[in-house]
Amino acid sequence: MSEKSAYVVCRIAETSYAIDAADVQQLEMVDTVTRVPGSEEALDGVVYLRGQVVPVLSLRRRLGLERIAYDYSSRLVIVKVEQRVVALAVDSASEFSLFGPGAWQPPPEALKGLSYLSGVITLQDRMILVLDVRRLLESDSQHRGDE
Amino acid sequence: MEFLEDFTEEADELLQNINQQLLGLSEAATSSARQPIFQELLRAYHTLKGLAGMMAVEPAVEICHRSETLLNAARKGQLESDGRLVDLLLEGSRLLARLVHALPERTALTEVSTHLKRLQGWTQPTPEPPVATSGGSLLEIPELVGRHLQSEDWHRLEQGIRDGMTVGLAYFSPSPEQAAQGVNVNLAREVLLATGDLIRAVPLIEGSSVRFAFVMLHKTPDPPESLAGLEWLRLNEQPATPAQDPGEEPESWADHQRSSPISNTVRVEVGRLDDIMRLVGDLVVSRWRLQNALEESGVNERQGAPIRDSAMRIERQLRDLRQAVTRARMVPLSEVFGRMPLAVRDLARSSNCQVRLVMEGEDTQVDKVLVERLLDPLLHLVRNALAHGLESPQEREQAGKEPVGRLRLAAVPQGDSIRIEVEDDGRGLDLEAIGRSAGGRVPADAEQALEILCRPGFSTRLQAAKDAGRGVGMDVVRKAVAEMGGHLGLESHPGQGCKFWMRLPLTLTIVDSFLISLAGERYAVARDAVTEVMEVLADQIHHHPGGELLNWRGGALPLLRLRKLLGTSGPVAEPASPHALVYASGEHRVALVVDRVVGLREVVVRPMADPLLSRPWLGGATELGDGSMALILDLGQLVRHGVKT
Repeated sequence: MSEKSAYVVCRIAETSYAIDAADVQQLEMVDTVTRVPGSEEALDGVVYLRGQVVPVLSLRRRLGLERIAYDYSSRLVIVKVEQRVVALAVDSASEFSLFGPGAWQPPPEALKGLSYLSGVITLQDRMILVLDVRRLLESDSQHRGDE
Repeated sequence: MEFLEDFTEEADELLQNINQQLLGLSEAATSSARQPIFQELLRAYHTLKGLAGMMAVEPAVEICHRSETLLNAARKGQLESDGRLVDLLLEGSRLLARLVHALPERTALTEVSTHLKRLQGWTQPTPEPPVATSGGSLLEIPELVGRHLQSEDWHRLEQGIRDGMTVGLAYFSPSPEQAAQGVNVNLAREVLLATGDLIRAVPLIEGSSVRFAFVMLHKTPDPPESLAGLEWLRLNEQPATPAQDPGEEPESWADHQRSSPISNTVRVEVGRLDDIMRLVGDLVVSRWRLQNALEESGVNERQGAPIRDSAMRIERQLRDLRQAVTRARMVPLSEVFGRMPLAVRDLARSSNCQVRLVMEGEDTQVDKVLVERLLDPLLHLVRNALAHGLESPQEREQAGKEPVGRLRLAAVPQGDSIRIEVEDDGRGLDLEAIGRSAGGRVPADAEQALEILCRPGFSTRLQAAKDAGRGVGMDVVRKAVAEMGGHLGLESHPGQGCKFWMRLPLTLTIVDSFLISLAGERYAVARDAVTEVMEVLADQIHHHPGGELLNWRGGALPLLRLRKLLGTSGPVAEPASPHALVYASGEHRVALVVDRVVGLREVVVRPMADPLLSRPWLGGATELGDGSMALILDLGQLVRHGVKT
């Protein structure tokens, strides 16, 4: 069998999402998020992490869902993509999971419109949507530029 | 590659010096005024030649060498030192700069050979001066080596030359392979000693390797026995003739040495100073954390006193440390002002105006990073002043002005900030033309005009804008100034001239700031931007359809509410008599209502670089020591544009 790939699996509103572990720096509990006034909907604010000011992007808002208050299970998935460090706020996140190549499939026809989905991982009892972090951040900055 | 950077930097400094001296030379009226300039130039070219030699940039070595030859002849009056000579050498200096910067790629420049021919041709009318005068040959000792020589060494060398001996310079580069065969520095020394006297051996540390330079006096000009790793140079080929008239050549190398004092400076990459500054910043935050912990610990007054004393002392020491590091980063503004005379000279020629450049305050010390970033906007303003501000000599005479225009560059320190002014006595701004070219109303004052000038692409769209007096790429200038945490301003008097100014912070990393609270969140505002802090009572506020006004010192001040500007509405209600900050920009004053001014403290500016966070009114953020952060607000941007980008 060929190699398995590592993902960080997180949950948002009862749905599981997977983020390529290569893009993830660490997982953090949510401490103090400082609000940035006048920002677009999906930005929760900023956190201070190891000498750096990091924007917190609400994955809920980014995926078009209602924002909910942070709680003890909320996590920040710190991703690093092309020199950018961004914290993705999720409802909860587990540690790394490994999936074999056989589990991965391209996104189904019905979800083709969602550019930030790069595929689907199907296990016996459940389905995990694989997020393309680059597209997630990219379209967000494009979105800003359109304003 | 670090070595390469050092080289480029040092070469740039030398070239800048050369340019300055050349301009000085064209202005010096008497022969005696020219002598020290010649001497400085010869030394600069020589050092540069040595550097270029080390980096094996042959064309640069050649240009330096021939320029030296010309200067030597000019110094002795064998050659006219007129404007043509200066132009020729300036052209060479530009070529040298290109060669230096092309070093990583080692680009071949076709202009070099043309230039070398011109340099060569220049000397032909007068015979080539003998190189081997006493001053000349000792000048051949590279600065790197020369700075290690004691005055008695120089005396011995001088004496040796008088006695007809040959000055030799040998380099020995040890290597492990040679050492295995018994070839080491001691053997090199023996080989050399067999041919003459060793004046001094100088170890030269170059990156991680070491090289030895031997300054020798040889009785015969024959090369020493060859040895692997040994490189031998003869500095004066012919036996030197004693100086004809000691009065005529006062600049023996004893003088020479006196005028180049042994350097006490260490080159440090700015990045390392940044690292230290970051550590100091972390310490400032740690101290705040300590202070907070102390206050929350419930230790009683008596028990806490010694701890509190220590905390206070640490605060003072940190301030001193911060100032020391800040000072280490400071360089004189002349690093950037010094480049202007050359630029002005070139620009004046191409824009058909005559200009006298006046510079003030170039000794002011500012952060190195600031100096680097200042160059482009300053050049831009100078270029605009010459291209659009100053009139032609004929026009000026018709207007009853001196035909030669005046361009003034000034640096005026103002507490924590510095004001850089670029002022000309040209035609001033044509407000009507600016208004017309922007397709709108005529701006009421210079500040409004500046707003129009700074619109992206304003000037490139319409020719009229160029005729309006100013404004090529002003948006770029303003952006650069804003990125340095500064402000751009403008004063104009039609017919009399125009003054652009930039107000810049002296340092960029730690800023004295007011900490304010607003709807339960905290923000920081640079102290520099605030002229006054006050409490606002309800009966001082007058409502009118256009907004609110504050009764202030018998006058009225426009009142803006930061809560409204930022669109914040937290759980905390606005206090009954909130605080306000008075923000002033030029003549323009605004009172900004905040909930409370919590305190004044040093904050460490953390940049917010992510595109998600790029907003002109956000100057970064700072951590407060309790894990939370405060956003740093740029009041100028907020007042002018609000939060919408």
